[in-house]
Amino acid sequence: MTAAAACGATVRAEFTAGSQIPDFSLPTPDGKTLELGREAGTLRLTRNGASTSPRVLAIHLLQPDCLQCRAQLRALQSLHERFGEQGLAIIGVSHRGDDKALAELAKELGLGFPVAVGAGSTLAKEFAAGDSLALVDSGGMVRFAQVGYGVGDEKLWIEGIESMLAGKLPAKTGVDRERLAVGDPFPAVVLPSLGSGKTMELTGKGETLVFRDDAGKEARPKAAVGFFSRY
Amino acid sequence: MVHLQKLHERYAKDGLQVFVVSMHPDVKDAQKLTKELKVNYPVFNGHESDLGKQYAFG
Repeated sequence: MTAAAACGATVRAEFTAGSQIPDFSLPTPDGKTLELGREAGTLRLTRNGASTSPRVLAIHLLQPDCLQCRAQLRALQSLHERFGEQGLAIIGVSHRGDDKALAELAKELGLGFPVAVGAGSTLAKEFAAGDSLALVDSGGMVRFAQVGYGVGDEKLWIEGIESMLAGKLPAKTGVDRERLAVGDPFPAVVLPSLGSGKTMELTGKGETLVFRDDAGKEARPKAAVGFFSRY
Repeated sequence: MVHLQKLHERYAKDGLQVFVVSMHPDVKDAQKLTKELKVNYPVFNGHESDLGKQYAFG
């Protein structure tokens, strides 16, 4: 077998627990600015000229047309409603798409927290290895970080936020994910065809990749490339 | 998917197997999208599959 599927590997940077979140200034879809800075070592979030010092800041890097981001934003909205008055601030920053798409998404989902347009920004370039989330403490230190979203991840966010609001470190600094890495064995893909519903297979048998289509026809490709798509 | 389609068209003859595992919750919507994008490489339906739960996030 000469290659495996590119499912989770990344070469770009991402939020990392134990690192400082950088200051930034980004436009909002309504033509204003969302700024993150520091004052005497404490985070300051400034929106429409009004500044706050959140006790916990959640930053979500998102794509407006991503189904999974929508699910994650709904989960974040529920956290905003639950913890907003206790000192949690949430911001959504798009790393793809334009201001119109972001504005429509925020309106559609009824988001009560601010969103900013980050496509092309340094923040997006440095941290958008994928759709990401970071929980940041009042001193600007990332204490929890993840790429992607799986239903149920919010349990970890809640634990992290509650810990940080209580002045403690989160028990976990990220989610436990399995990622394919170079050198890993290729996981067998034995699933129905989206079109016909009949089983197809892409498996690594010994050193050989074998693909069997939904008509049972077998091929031995030299390499394979694919990904998980949520459209 | 569009970029993969280009890879498929260019390298399939040389032995590259391009594929997608669809995690879309609505099969009909996913079928419609793949049709619109003129995808003609294999698309697996991985929604709610163990493989998807294990590796697909983001």
